Parts: sequence; structure tokens; C-alpha cells
Amino acid sequence: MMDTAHDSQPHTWHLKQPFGWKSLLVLFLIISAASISAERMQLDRMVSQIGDFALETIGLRESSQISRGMESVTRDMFPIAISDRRPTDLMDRLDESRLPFLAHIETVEIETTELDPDTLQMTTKVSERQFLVEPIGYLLFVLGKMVETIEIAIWASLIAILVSLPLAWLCSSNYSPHPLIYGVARSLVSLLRSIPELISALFLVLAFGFGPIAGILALSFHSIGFLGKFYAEDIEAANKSPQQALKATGASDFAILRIAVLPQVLPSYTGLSLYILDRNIRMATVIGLVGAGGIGQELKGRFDMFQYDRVGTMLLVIFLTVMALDLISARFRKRLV
Amino acid sequence: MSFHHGTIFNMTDKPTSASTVPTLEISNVFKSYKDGPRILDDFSLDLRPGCFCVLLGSSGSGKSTLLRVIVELTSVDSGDIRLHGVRLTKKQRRRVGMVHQDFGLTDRLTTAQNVMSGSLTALSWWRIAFQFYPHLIQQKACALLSRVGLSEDHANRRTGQLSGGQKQRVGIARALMCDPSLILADEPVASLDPRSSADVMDLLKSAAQERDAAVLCSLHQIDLAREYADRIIGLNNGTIVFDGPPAALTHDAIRAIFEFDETSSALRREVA
Repeated sequence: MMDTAHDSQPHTWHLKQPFGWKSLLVLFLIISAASISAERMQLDRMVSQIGDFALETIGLRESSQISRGMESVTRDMFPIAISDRRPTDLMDRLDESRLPFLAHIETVEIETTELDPDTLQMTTKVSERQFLVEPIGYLLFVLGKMVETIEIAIWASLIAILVSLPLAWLCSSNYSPHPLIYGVARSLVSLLRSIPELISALFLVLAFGFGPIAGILALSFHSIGFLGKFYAEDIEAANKSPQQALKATGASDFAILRIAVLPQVLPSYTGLSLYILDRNIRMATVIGLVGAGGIGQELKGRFDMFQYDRVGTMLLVIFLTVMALDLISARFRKRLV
Repeated sequence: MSFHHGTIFNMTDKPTSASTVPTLEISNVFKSYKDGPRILDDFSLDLRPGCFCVLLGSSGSGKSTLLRVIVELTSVDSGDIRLHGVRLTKKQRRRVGMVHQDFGLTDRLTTAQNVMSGSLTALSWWRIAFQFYPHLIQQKACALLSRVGLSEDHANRRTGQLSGGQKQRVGIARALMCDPSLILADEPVASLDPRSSADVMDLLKSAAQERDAAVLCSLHQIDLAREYADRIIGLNNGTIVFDGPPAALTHDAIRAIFEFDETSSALRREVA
């Protein structure tokens, strides 16, 4: 197997260049497509609006559309709502000897002026109205909703991981028991991955009713689509040498996957699973918008009622939770991998 | 991954008396890859118990394919392979241990777990799932690790932390887990330094002798083949071009095996 280097003189050789006229053509096409798309997406308006807002911020303009649009929200959002105050006569059962945590009852005199139908004269009446005041009531309620959201995410991730492990076996080209099973499993995983959580949650709410069940299923379906694919690709990419060694002893596919493949892919599986948990917690706050339980349901309700101070409380809680979980999962990953 | 039974294996599969029967019988094996050259061309070979046989040849001569064919990692086009006179089946394969060039160990398992994985065929699925090895297998693994010169500390360490020479010792211990009557070694010292190579070859030879197991070991180092082999088989393009004791390995034989011309001075020095 002598090489062919002796056939031609070295000074006549051509080396491959990193860029050529083809690269330039591709670059030109990309720029053309991008400029057409930018026109359609009104990117020019975006730039001018942001520019106006920036000028207003440094005092060179009176007002801008962005600040007008956000005015009511920003005005009402702070201070955020911590306490809760509700009239007692609207509550079904209130045992005054056993009030909720830190709560007290406030009595307010209300003057009402109305027309007396007999004398046809305006009379002023003084009535008493009682309110139940909970100083940190709303914060506790939001935290409770956040815990519910995290529970939805954990269950969804757990179900997804448990289903994806065997599914990845069927989805990996080198271990799938039959090409037909491989094809079906791969299509199923692609299908699950292609449906966004918010869309499947819409339908699952119809099927299971409002509440966390629809949320858990919607999140786990999408997660299975993601984990099934990447678990399977890890199996396919795993080092072949230990697998061949066990195959040579006559070990079964299951034994090879367990002993020679799983230990290899475990760090990657842990990373993927933690990512899915992380993602599910963020998504679980969103799918509540369509009634699938969690903090999103409350967020949507308050947003629609223009109660931006309560929305502010929820946004802050979501932000702090996601940040805290990020720190925890980073630590967890370091210890496991 | 299966032999074409029916048409080729029509002989009776009765084992005959042990003393006269070779450990390994390979007859008329053909193997070629799709649209590729013929790797094994009407290959036949008998191996006596306790014989340390070295397959000598350059890359692509068919050494690895021959070893892979014996453990069904590669299927043959036609031919017959028998162990102790019985056609090789999955159950028979339990008495064949194999040592690999790149060790074939799972780096993230402990050394002991890697050794015990040599006996997976004897275990039920739930024991495999939880890596719950029976006490007897655990004891055997410890004894074998001690035999190949590793300590309790090594046994509980991840295999990825061991040196190349230590890894190949673990590979040998795993191959011994099945009480093999035949040990296959595919370039066992290709990635080791000379000192570790000698240690591993010593170990392979003595471990095989203790068990009266036959060894079929592929090598490309002529000096190692001369030192350790009872019998050398020279392979070139899937056919046997030399078969004899190390003393009979002449310059001409080496030329025939490695097919070198006057330009390869390094090899000429080795021969001289």
C-alpha cells in the first residue's frame, strides 16, 4: 500500500482552503434572506422604539411608546403585595377563635348616604364592616402555589425519566430489538418532542379538567420526547470496547447495557435529567396560564384583573426560586458527575 | 450475528474422548467483508490443550478477524468452529475467555465489578440489574485479582484510575472468571510499554499453564512471539504462511509473513 505522493511534485499540490466563492455565495444568500425577514418582522420599528425609549431615559425626549405602555404596570407593581385583606362577610366559615397565622380582624365604620324612599330625603347611615387581615397572607399563598408548581415539575420529570430509560433502549439503533420497533419508538419520541407543552396542556385540561394532572402529563410528554432522544444518542455514542468484551462472553443485550453502557452514560444522563427538571420548573410556571395548575394559573388571573402588585409578588418568587434551584442543581451535578 | 446453520453444520455434534480431541478446531473458514477483500481464505487450524499459540502478522492480515470469529463478534461466511469437538454455541462460549487490545473495561466501574462482569451469563437479570453478585463470584474475583498481582485497594478503585499494565491485568482476571479452556488474546500488549508488555505476557502464559488452557494470542512483535510461543502461526492475507515452533521462524519465514521489501530498514534490523 504505497502512497501516491510520488506521482506529482509537491509544488503542484493543491491544499483545501477554509473559504471559497461558495462560502461568499452562501453568505450573500443568508444576508438577503435576513433583510427580507427583518422587513416582515418590523425590526426597523423595534429599533426606533427602543431608540425613543433610550432618548427618553436620558432626558432628550418627552415620552415614548414603551414607557406609556409599561406605565400602569410599573406604577402598580411596586410595592409588591405581601398582605391580604378580605371582608369577613364574604367568607363562608370563619372561626374567630382560630384565625390563620398572624391574622387579626379589623373593624371599619363605613358611612353610606342613600335616598330614603319614604321621606325622599338623603340620609347617612353608619355601618360596620369587618375585614380579616393577614400581614404576610398573600406571600404565603404565593409560596404555596410555587411549591405546587415545583411538585408538578418534579413529578413530570420523574415520570419522564422512568419512561425514557426503557424507551431509549428501543430508540438506540444498536440495541433496538427490531427495526420496526426502532422506527415506531423513534417516531413516537419525535412526535412527543414536537408538541409544545402549552399546546398539549390545552388539550389535557379538556381531558382531565383544571389542575395539576394536566400540567404533570403535558410536561412529562415533552420531556420524554427530549430525554428519549438524547438518552438513546448517548447509548449509540458510548465506547464500543467494553460492550464488545461483554458480548464476547455471550452476555445478553440487557447485561451489556447495564454493565458496559449505563456506567458510561450515567454522567451525561444525570446532566440531561437535571436540565429537564430545571426546564420543567420554569415551564410549570407557564402552563398554569391555560389552567394546568401551579402558580401560572394565579398569575394569569391576577394579570387579567390588572392586580399588578400581586403579579409582582409572583414574578419575584418565581425569579428567586429558579435562581435557588439553579444553584442547588449545579452543586448536585458537581457531586454526582 | 449468526452462523448459517442448516447448510454448513451438518455433522454430528458428539464430543469424543478428551485426550485426543483438540481444544479448538477451525476448519475451512471463509470470511470477507461486503465489497472488500477476503479476510479469511479457507482457514483451518487445530489447537492442542495447553498450547501457547501466537498468531503473527501485520495489520489487516486477518488475526483479529480470526479471534472475533471464534467468539461470534463477527460471523463467518462458511466454515466450522468446534471447541472440544463440539460446535461452538452460546453455552460453549462460556468456556472461552478473551483479552482485548484496548482492555474492554468499563472505566467507571470498580476493578472488582469489571472482573465479575466476566461471569454475567451465569446470572439472573435482577442480579445483573443491581450488580448483586453471589458471594462465590465475589470470592473468585478477589482470588483472581490477587493472582494477577492487584490488591484490595485496587479492587475497590474505579478502573479508569489504573495504569495501562494494571488494566490489562484486570482484563486477564476477567477472562479467567469463566474457568476458560481456551484464552483468546487480541494484541494484548499493543498499547503497553516493554516492561508492562513482558509482565502481561508472563502472566498470560503462567495463568494458562496453571489451568492447562490453550492460548491463541495475536501479536505483531516478533521478539515477543519468539519468547513466549510454543507454536507460531504466520498469517498473511488470511492464509497461513508459516506454522511451527519459534526455532523454525527463519528470516525467510518472517519475510513471507510481513511481506517487506528492501526499503523497510527498521524491520530488516529486527530480523537481523
